[in-house]
Amino acid sequence: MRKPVRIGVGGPVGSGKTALVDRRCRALLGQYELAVVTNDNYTKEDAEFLIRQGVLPRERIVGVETGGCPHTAIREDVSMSVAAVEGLVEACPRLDIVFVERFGFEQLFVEVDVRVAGERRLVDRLQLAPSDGSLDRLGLWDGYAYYGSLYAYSPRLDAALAAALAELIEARDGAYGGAGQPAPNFAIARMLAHTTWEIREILFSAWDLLRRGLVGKPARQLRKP
Amino acid sequence: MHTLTDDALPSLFQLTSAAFPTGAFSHSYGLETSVQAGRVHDVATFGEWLEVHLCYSAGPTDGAAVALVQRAATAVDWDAVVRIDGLLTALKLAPEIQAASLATGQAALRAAREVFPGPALDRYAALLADRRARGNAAVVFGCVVADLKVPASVSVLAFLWGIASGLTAVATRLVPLGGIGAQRLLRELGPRIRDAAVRAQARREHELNTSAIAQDIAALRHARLYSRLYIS
Repeated sequence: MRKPVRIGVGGPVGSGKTALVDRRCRALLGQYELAVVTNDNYTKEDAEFLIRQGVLPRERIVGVETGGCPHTAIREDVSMSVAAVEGLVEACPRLDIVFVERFGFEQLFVEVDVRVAGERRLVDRLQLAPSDGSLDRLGLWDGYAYYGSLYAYSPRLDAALAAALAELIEARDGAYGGAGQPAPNFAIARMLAHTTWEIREILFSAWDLLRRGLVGKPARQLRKP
Repeated sequence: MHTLTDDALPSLFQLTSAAFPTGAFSHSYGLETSVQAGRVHDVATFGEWLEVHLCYSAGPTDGAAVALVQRAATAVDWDAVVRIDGLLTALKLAPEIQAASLATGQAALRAAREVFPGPALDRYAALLADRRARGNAAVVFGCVVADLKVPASVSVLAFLWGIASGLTAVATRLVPLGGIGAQRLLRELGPRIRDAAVRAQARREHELNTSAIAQDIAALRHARLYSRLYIS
Protein backbone atom coordinates (compact mmCIF):
# COMPACT_ATOMS: atom_id res chain seq x y z
CA MET A 1 0.00 0.00 0.00
CA ARG A 2 1.23 3.48 -0.81
CA LYS A 3 2.06 5.54 2.27
CA PRO A 4 1.17 9.24 2.33
CA VAL A 5 3.41 11.72 4.07
CA ARG A 6 2.07 12.33 7.54
CA ILE A 7 2.54 15.80 9.00
CA GLY A 8 1.80 16.24 12.68
CA VAL A 9 0.69 19.64 13.91
CA GLY A 10 1.03 20.15 17.65
CA GLY A 11 0.38 22.95 20.09
CA PRO A 12 -1.86 24.06 22.92
CA VAL A 13 -5.48 25.05 22.66
CA GLY A 14 -5.82 28.30 20.80
CA SER A 15 -2.36 28.26 19.26
CA GLY A 16 -3.66 28.08 15.71
CA LYS A 17 -3.25 24.41 14.74
CA THR A 18 -6.46 24.34 12.76
CA ALA A 19 -5.73 27.69 11.13
CA LEU A 20 -2.33 26.37 10.05
CA VAL A 21 -3.82 23.19 8.60
CA ASP A 22 -6.48 25.27 6.86
CA ARG A 23 -3.90 27.54 5.19
CA ARG A 24 -1.63 24.65 4.20
CA CYS A 25 -4.55 22.78 2.66
CA ARG A 26 -5.54 25.82 0.62
CA ALA A 27 -1.95 26.34 -0.52
CA LEU A 28 -1.33 22.70 -1.49
CA LEU A 29 -4.72 21.90 -2.96
CA GLY A 30 -4.60 20.96 -6.60
CA GLN A 31 -0.96 19.92 -6.40
CA TYR A 32 -1.46 17.10 -3.91
CA GLU A 33 -4.15 14.75 -2.64
CA LEU A 34 -4.81 15.85 0.94
CA ALA A 35 -6.61 14.65 4.04
CA VAL A 36 -6.87 15.84 7.66
CA VAL A 37 -7.19 13.94 10.92
CA THR A 38 -8.29 16.00 13.90
CA ASN A 39 -8.36 14.57 17.38
CA ASP A 40 -10.46 16.94 19.35
CA ASN A 41 -14.07 17.86 19.24
CA TYR A 42 -13.78 21.55 18.81
CA THR A 43 -11.88 21.16 15.58
CA LYS A 44 -14.89 19.37 14.19
CA GLU A 45 -16.41 22.80 14.11
CA ASP A 46 -13.45 23.87 12.04
CA ALA A 47 -13.66 20.69 9.98
CA GLU A 48 -17.22 21.68 9.16
CA PHE A 49 -15.88 25.08 8.24
CA LEU A 50 -13.32 23.48 5.91
CA ILE A 51 -16.03 21.37 4.34
CA ARG A 52 -18.34 24.35 3.87
CA GLN A 53 -15.53 26.35 2.32
CA GLY A 54 -15.01 23.49 -0.12
CA VAL A 55 -11.35 23.20 0.84
CA LEU A 56 -11.61 19.44 1.30
CA PRO A 57 -14.44 17.01 0.66
CA ARG A 58 -16.13 15.56 3.73
CA GLU A 59 -14.55 12.12 3.36
CA ARG A 60 -11.08 13.64 3.58
CA ILE A 61 -11.59 15.06 7.09
CA VAL A 62 -11.76 12.62 9.97
CA GLY A 63 -12.41 13.54 13.58
CA VAL A 64 -11.17 10.94 16.05
CA GLU A 65 -13.63 10.24 18.83
CA THR A 66 -11.66 9.38 21.93
CA GLY A 67 -14.59 8.34 24.07
CA GLY A 68 -16.18 9.60 27.25
CA CYS A 69 -14.04 8.29 30.09
CA PRO A 70 -15.07 10.40 33.09
CA HIS A 71 -11.53 10.77 34.37
CA THR A 72 -10.08 11.74 31.06
CA ALA A 73 -6.87 13.70 31.17
CA ILE A 74 -5.22 15.41 28.25
CA ARG A 75 -5.12 12.80 25.54
CA GLU A 76 -1.90 12.41 23.71
CA ASP A 77 -2.24 8.77 22.78
CA VAL A 78 -1.70 8.69 19.01
CA SER A 79 -2.85 5.13 18.38
CA MET A 80 -6.31 6.24 17.35
CA SER A 81 -4.91 8.86 15.00
CA VAL A 82 -2.74 6.18 13.43
CA ALA A 83 -5.80 4.00 12.92
CA ALA A 84 -7.62 6.97 11.39
CA VAL A 85 -4.78 7.56 8.92
CA GLU A 86 -4.86 3.89 7.90
CA GLY A 87 -8.61 4.16 7.39
CA LEU A 88 -8.14 7.23 5.20
CA VAL A 89 -5.47 5.51 3.11
CA GLU A 90 -7.78 2.56 2.54
CA ALA A 91 -10.63 4.84 1.51
CA CYS A 92 -8.47 7.15 -0.64
CA PRO A 93 -5.43 5.19 -1.91
CA ARG A 94 -4.07 8.16 -3.85
CA LEU A 95 -3.38 10.35 -0.81
CA ASP A 96 -0.09 12.28 -0.80
CA ILE A 97 -0.26 14.16 2.49
CA VAL A 98 -2.23 13.65 5.71
CA PHE A 99 -2.22 16.38 8.31
CA VAL A 100 -2.64 15.01 11.83
CA GLU A 101 -3.58 17.45 14.53
CA ARG A 102 -2.08 16.49 17.85
CA PHE A 103 -2.58 17.68 21.39
CA GLY A 104 -5.60 19.76 22.22
CA PHE A 105 -8.11 17.68 24.08
CA GLU A 106 -11.63 16.48 23.81
CA GLN A 107 -12.30 16.68 27.49
CA LEU A 108 -10.27 17.71 30.49
CA PHE A 109 -11.67 16.63 33.81
CA VAL A 110 -9.90 17.10 37.11
CA GLU A 111 -11.56 16.74 40.46
CA VAL A 112 -10.06 17.20 43.91
CA ASP A 113 -12.56 17.05 46.75
CA VAL A 114 -11.07 17.37 50.24
CA ARG A 115 -13.17 16.74 53.32
CA VAL A 116 -11.96 17.09 56.86
CA ALA A 117 -14.10 15.46 59.57
CA GLY A 118 -16.86 14.95 57.01
CA GLU A 119 -16.96 18.61 56.04
CA ARG A 120 -16.14 19.77 52.57
CA ARG A 121 -13.20 22.14 52.78
CA LEU A 122 -11.79 22.41 49.30
CA VAL A 123 -13.10 21.39 45.91
CA ASP A 124 -11.18 21.92 42.70
CA ARG A 125 -13.01 20.89 39.57
CA LEU A 126 -11.94 21.59 36.03
CA GLN A 127 -14.33 20.51 33.35
CA LEU A 128 -13.37 21.55 29.89
CA ALA A 129 -15.02 20.16 26.81
CA PRO A 130 -13.91 22.41 23.98
CA SER A 131 -16.94 21.36 21.95
CA ASP A 132 -19.17 23.32 24.31
CA GLY A 133 -17.98 26.69 23.16
CA SER A 134 -15.40 28.77 21.40
CA LEU A 135 -12.68 27.75 23.85
CA ASP A 136 -9.97 27.87 21.19
CA ARG A 137 -10.38 31.59 20.76
CA LEU A 138 -10.39 32.48 24.40
CA GLY A 139 -7.77 33.16 27.00
CA LEU A 140 -8.52 30.41 29.51
CA TRP A 141 -4.83 29.49 29.76
CA ASP A 142 -3.36 32.86 28.75
CA GLY A 143 -1.44 31.21 25.92
CA TYR A 144 0.32 28.66 28.12
CA ALA A 145 0.21 24.96 27.25
CA TYR A 146 0.79 23.31 30.63
CA TYR A 147 -1.04 23.57 33.89
CA GLY A 148 -0.20 22.42 37.38
CA SER A 149 -1.87 22.55 40.79
CA LEU A 150 -0.68 21.99 44.30
CA TYR A 151 -2.83 21.34 47.36
CA ALA A 152 -1.39 21.19 50.85
CA TYR A 153 -3.04 20.51 54.18
CA SER A 154 -1.42 20.42 57.58
CA PRO A 155 -2.45 21.60 61.03
CA ARG A 156 0.87 23.46 60.99
CA LEU A 157 0.20 25.26 57.72
CA ASP A 158 -0.33 28.85 58.83
CA ALA A 159 -0.93 32.14 57.02
CA ALA A 160 2.78 33.01 57.02
CA LEU A 161 3.74 29.80 55.24
CA ALA A 162 0.92 30.24 52.72
CA ALA A 163 2.14 33.81 52.08
CA ALA A 164 5.71 32.55 51.57
CA LEU A 165 4.36 30.01 49.09
CA ALA A 166 2.51 32.74 47.17
CA GLU A 167 5.65 34.86 47.06
CA LEU A 168 7.70 31.95 45.72
CA ILE A 169 5.17 30.97 43.04
CA GLU A 170 4.57 34.51 41.85
CA ALA A 171 8.25 35.31 41.55
CA ARG A 172 8.84 32.52 39.07
CA ASP A 173 9.90 33.81 35.64
CA GLY A 174 8.61 32.06 32.55
CA ALA A 175 5.43 30.90 34.27
CA TYR A 176 2.26 32.41 35.59
CA GLY A 177 1.19 31.24 39.00
CA GLY A 178 -0.47 32.17 42.24
CA ALA A 179 -1.16 30.68 45.65
CA GLY A 180 -3.43 31.31 48.59
CA GLN A 181 -5.09 29.96 51.69
CA PRO A 182 -8.79 29.35 50.96
CA ALA A 183 -9.40 27.54 54.28
CA PRO A 184 -7.48 27.27 57.57
CA ASN A 185 -4.51 24.87 57.35
CA PHE A 186 -4.85 24.62 53.57
CA ALA A 187 -2.76 26.10 50.81
CA ILE A 188 -3.39 25.84 47.12
CA ALA A 189 -1.32 26.92 44.16
CA ARG A 190 -2.12 27.12 40.48
CA MET A 191 0.42 27.57 37.74
CA LEU A 192 0.65 27.80 33.96
CA ALA A 193 3.86 27.34 32.00
CA HIS A 194 5.20 26.58 28.54
CA THR A 195 6.85 23.25 29.40
CA THR A 196 6.17 20.33 31.71
CA TRP A 197 9.68 20.79 33.06
CA GLU A 198 8.89 24.31 34.23
CA ILE A 199 5.77 23.00 35.98
CA ARG A 200 7.86 20.30 37.63
CA GLU A 201 10.45 22.84 38.77
CA ILE A 202 7.88 25.14 40.36
CA LEU A 203 6.10 22.25 42.05
CA PHE A 204 9.36 20.96 43.42
CA SER A 205 10.43 24.34 44.80
CA ALA A 206 6.96 24.78 46.34
CA TRP A 207 7.11 21.34 47.90
CA ASP A 208 10.58 22.08 49.21
CA LEU A 209 9.38 25.31 50.83
CA LEU A 210 6.43 23.52 52.44
CA ARG A 211 8.56 20.62 53.73
CA ARG A 212 11.06 23.01 55.27
CA GLY A 213 8.21 24.98 56.87
CA LEU A 214 6.24 21.98 58.09
CA VAL A 215 8.81 19.33 59.03
CA GLY A 216 12.07 21.24 58.88
CA LYS A 217 13.50 19.10 56.11
CA PRO A 218 14.18 19.81 52.45
CA ALA A 219 12.33 17.97 49.72
CA ARG A 220 14.09 15.06 48.08
CA GLN A 221 14.32 14.57 44.36
CA LEU A 222 12.04 11.71 43.42
CA ARG A 223 13.73 11.22 40.10
CA LYS A 224 17.06 12.32 38.80
CA PRO A 225 16.61 15.24 36.44
CA MET B 1 -42.72 26.05 36.49
CA HIS B 2 -43.29 29.75 37.09
CA THR B 3 -44.01 32.33 34.45
CA LEU B 4 -42.54 35.79 34.65
CA THR B 5 -45.08 38.17 36.14
CA ASP B 6 -45.29 41.94 35.75
CA ASP B 7 -44.56 42.15 39.46
CA ALA B 8 -41.43 39.97 39.41
CA LEU B 9 -39.78 41.72 36.47
CA PRO B 10 -39.25 45.12 38.16
CA SER B 11 -38.04 43.25 41.26
CA LEU B 12 -35.36 41.57 39.14
CA PHE B 13 -34.33 44.95 37.70
CA GLN B 14 -34.03 46.26 41.24
CA LEU B 15 -32.04 43.25 42.51
CA THR B 16 -29.50 43.40 39.66
CA SER B 17 -29.23 47.19 39.68
CA ALA B 18 -25.92 48.71 40.77
CA ALA B 19 -27.96 50.74 43.27
CA PHE B 20 -28.91 47.63 45.24
CA PRO B 21 -26.56 47.79 48.24
CA THR B 22 -24.39 44.66 48.02
CA GLY B 23 -20.99 46.33 47.80
CA ALA B 24 -20.27 44.46 44.55
CA PHE B 25 -18.93 47.67 42.97
CA SER B 26 -15.74 47.35 45.03
CA HIS B 27 -14.79 43.93 43.62
CA SER B 28 -12.97 43.23 40.35
CA TYR B 29 -12.71 39.40 40.73
CA GLY B 30 -9.11 39.44 39.56
CA LEU B 31 -9.69 41.85 36.67
CA GLU B 32 -7.49 44.45 38.33
CA THR B 33 -4.51 42.06 38.18
CA SER B 34 -5.01 41.53 34.45
CA VAL B 35 -5.40 45.27 33.81
CA GLN B 36 -2.17 46.00 35.70
CA ALA B 37 -0.40 43.26 33.73
CA GLY B 38 -1.59 44.87 30.50
CA ARG B 39 -3.54 41.81 29.38
CA VAL B 40 -6.82 43.71 29.54
CA HIS B 41 -6.30 47.13 28.00
CA ASP B 42 -9.27 47.99 25.75
CA VAL B 43 -12.87 47.09 24.97
CA ALA B 44 -11.91 44.02 22.93
CA THR B 45 -9.58 42.48 25.52
CA PHE B 46 -12.05 43.24 28.30
CA GLY B 47 -14.78 41.59 26.22
CA GLU B 48 -12.71 38.40 25.99
CA TRP B 49 -12.00 38.51 29.71
CA LEU B 50 -15.68 38.98 30.56
CA GLU B 51 -16.77 36.17 28.26
CA VAL B 52 -14.29 33.77 29.87
CA HIS B 53 -15.39 34.92 33.30
CA LEU B 54 -19.07 34.31 32.58
CA CYS B 55 -18.70 31.05 30.63
CA TYR B 56 -15.96 29.32 32.63
CA SER B 57 -15.97 30.86 36.09
CA ALA B 58 -19.10 32.70 37.28
CA GLY B 59 -21.54 30.79 35.06
CA PRO B 60 -20.65 27.20 36.00
CA THR B 61 -20.29 28.04 39.72
CA ASP B 62 -22.51 30.92 40.84
CA GLY B 63 -24.91 30.87 37.89
CA ALA B 64 -25.48 27.14 38.26
CA ALA B 65 -25.87 27.54 42.04
CA VAL B 66 -28.64 30.13 41.58
CA ALA B 67 -30.76 27.61 39.67
CA LEU B 68 -29.99 24.71 42.03
CA VAL B 69 -30.71 26.77 45.15
CA GLN B 70 -33.88 28.22 43.69
CA ARG B 71 -35.14 24.73 42.90
CA ALA B 72 -34.16 23.37 46.34
CA ALA B 73 -35.64 26.34 48.23
CA THR B 74 -38.87 26.08 46.24
CA ALA B 75 -39.00 22.38 47.15
CA VAL B 76 -38.25 23.29 50.81
CA ASP B 77 -35.12 21.09 50.66
CA TRP B 78 -32.94 23.15 52.99
CA ASP B 79 -30.35 20.41 53.42
CA ALA B 80 -29.64 20.77 49.71
CA VAL B 81 -29.39 24.57 49.99
CA VAL B 82 -26.88 24.23 52.85
CA ARG B 83 -24.90 21.63 50.91
CA ILE B 84 -24.70 23.77 47.76
CA ASP B 85 -23.70 26.78 49.87
CA GLY B 86 -20.82 24.76 51.38
CA LEU B 87 -19.79 23.41 47.97
CA LEU B 88 -19.74 26.90 46.50
CA THR B 89 -17.47 28.13 49.29
CA ALA B 90 -15.15 25.14 48.85
CA LEU B 91 -14.99 25.77 45.09
CA LYS B 92 -13.76 29.34 45.51
CA LEU B 93 -10.04 28.67 45.77
CA ALA B 94 -8.88 32.29 45.70
CA PRO B 95 -9.46 33.63 49.24
CA GLU B 96 -10.46 37.08 47.95
CA ILE B 97 -13.09 35.62 45.62
CA GLN B 98 -14.50 33.54 48.46
CA ALA B 99 -14.59 36.61 50.72
CA ALA B 100 -16.21 38.70 47.94
CA SER B 101 -19.01 36.17 47.51
CA LEU B 102 -19.68 36.02 51.25
CA ALA B 103 -19.49 39.80 51.84
CA THR B 104 -21.73 40.74 48.91
CA GLY B 105 -24.06 37.83 49.68
CA GLN B 106 -24.56 38.78 53.30
CA ALA B 107 -25.08 42.43 52.37
CA ALA B 108 -27.63 41.36 49.74
CA LEU B 109 -29.38 39.21 52.34
CA ARG B 110 -29.69 42.11 54.80
CA ALA B 111 -31.10 44.41 52.11
CA ALA B 112 -33.35 41.81 50.47
CA ARG B 113 -34.95 40.81 53.76
CA GLU B 114 -36.15 44.39 54.17
CA VAL B 115 -37.06 45.02 50.54
CA PHE B 116 -38.33 41.60 49.38
CA PRO B 117 -39.32 39.75 52.57
CA GLY B 118 -40.34 36.14 52.02
CA PRO B 119 -40.30 32.69 53.63
CA ALA B 120 -37.22 31.36 51.76
CA LEU B 121 -35.11 34.37 52.75
CA ASP B 122 -36.29 34.09 56.36
CA ARG B 123 -35.38 30.44 56.50
CA TYR B 124 -32.00 31.04 54.90
CA ALA B 125 -31.23 33.89 57.30
CA ALA B 126 -32.02 31.57 60.22
CA LEU B 127 -29.65 28.92 58.80
CA LEU B 128 -26.96 31.58 58.46
CA ALA B 129 -27.50 32.69 62.06
CA ASP B 130 -27.08 29.03 63.10
CA ARG B 131 -23.82 28.97 61.11
CA ARG B 132 -25.14 26.14 58.98
CA ALA B 133 -25.33 28.33 55.87
CA ARG B 134 -22.47 30.49 54.59
CA GLY B 135 -24.12 33.43 52.85
CA ASN B 136 -22.75 33.16 49.31
CA ALA B 137 -24.15 35.78 46.94
CA ALA B 138 -25.54 33.23 44.46
CA VAL B 139 -27.31 31.32 47.23
CA VAL B 140 -28.94 34.46 48.61
CA PHE B 141 -30.06 35.37 45.08
CA GLY B 142 -31.47 31.86 44.62
CA CYS B 143 -33.56 32.29 47.78
CA VAL B 144 -34.88 35.72 46.74
CA VAL B 145 -35.96 34.46 43.31
CA ALA B 146 -37.58 31.43 44.96
CA ASP B 147 -39.69 33.86 46.97
CA LEU B 148 -40.38 36.01 43.92
CA LYS B 149 -41.35 32.89 41.91
CA VAL B 150 -39.27 33.89 38.90
CA PRO B 151 -38.65 31.23 36.22
CA ALA B 152 -35.17 29.72 36.78
CA SER B 153 -34.07 30.52 33.21
CA VAL B 154 -34.78 34.21 33.84
CA SER B 155 -33.19 34.30 37.30
CA VAL B 156 -29.89 32.76 36.16
CA LEU B 157 -29.77 35.15 33.20
CA ALA B 158 -30.52 38.11 35.48
CA PHE B 159 -27.83 37.05 37.95
CA LEU B 160 -25.15 36.64 35.27
CA TRP B 161 -26.22 39.84 33.56
CA GLY B 162 -25.82 41.62 36.93
CA ILE B 163 -22.26 40.32 37.16
CA ALA B 164 -21.54 41.36 33.56
CA SER B 165 -22.97 44.83 34.11
CA GLY B 166 -21.09 45.30 37.38
CA LEU B 167 -17.77 44.20 35.90
CA THR B 168 -18.32 46.43 32.87
CA ALA B 169 -18.63 49.36 35.28
CA VAL B 170 -15.44 48.21 37.04
CA ALA B 171 -13.60 47.97 33.70
CA THR B 172 -14.89 51.38 32.65
CA ARG B 173 -13.11 52.86 35.66
CA LEU B 174 -10.06 50.57 35.74
CA VAL B 175 -8.91 50.19 32.14
CA PRO B 176 -10.41 52.84 31.56
CA LEU B 177 -12.98 52.39 28.82
CA GLY B 178 -15.28 54.91 27.19
CA GLY B 179 -18.77 54.68 28.65
CA ILE B 180 -20.55 54.20 25.33
CA GLY B 181 -18.08 51.63 24.01
CA ALA B 182 -18.35 49.64 27.24
CA GLN B 183 -22.14 49.63 27.10
CA ARG B 184 -22.10 48.63 23.43
CA LEU B 185 -19.87 45.69 24.39
CA LEU B 186 -22.33 44.65 27.10
CA ARG B 187 -25.15 44.77 24.55
CA GLU B 188 -23.12 42.74 22.05
CA LEU B 189 -22.26 40.15 24.70
CA GLY B 190 -25.97 39.56 25.24
CA PRO B 191 -26.15 36.28 23.28
CA ARG B 192 -23.05 34.92 25.06
CA ILE B 193 -24.50 35.81 28.46
CA ARG B 194 -27.66 33.99 27.44
CA ASP B 195 -25.62 30.93 26.35
CA ALA B 196 -23.73 30.98 29.65
CA ALA B 197 -27.05 31.15 31.53
CA VAL B 198 -28.58 28.27 29.57
CA ARG B 199 -25.53 26.08 30.21
CA ALA B 200 -25.34 27.12 33.87
CA GLN B 201 -28.98 26.27 34.41
CA ALA B 202 -28.43 22.74 33.06
CA ARG B 203 -25.62 21.92 35.49
CA ARG B 204 -26.17 19.49 38.32
CA GLU B 205 -24.52 19.76 41.71
CA HIS B 206 -21.55 17.56 40.85
CA GLU B 207 -20.97 19.64 37.71
CA LEU B 208 -20.35 22.95 39.48
CA ASN B 209 -16.82 23.93 38.52
CA THR B 210 -14.52 26.76 37.62
CA SER B 211 -12.14 26.24 34.73
CA ALA B 212 -10.84 29.73 33.96
CA ILE B 213 -7.36 28.93 35.24
CA ALA B 214 -5.61 32.14 34.18
CA GLN B 215 -8.35 34.16 35.90
CA ASP B 216 -8.02 32.02 39.05
CA ILE B 217 -4.33 32.82 39.09
CA ALA B 218 -5.01 36.53 38.54
CA ALA B 219 -7.48 36.45 41.45
CA LEU B 220 -4.87 34.72 43.66
CA ARG B 221 -2.21 37.26 42.69
CA HIS B 222 -4.53 40.17 43.41
CA ALA B 223 -3.91 39.75 47.14
CA ARG B 224 -0.27 40.70 46.64
CA LEU B 225 -0.59 43.55 44.13
CA TYR B 226 1.56 46.51 45.15
CA SER B 227 -1.25 49.01 44.67
CA ARG B 228 -4.92 48.16 44.34
CA LEU B 229 -8.20 49.98 44.03
CA TYR B 230 -10.49 46.97 44.47
CA ILE B 231 -10.97 44.50 47.33
CA SER B 232 -10.70 41.49 45.01
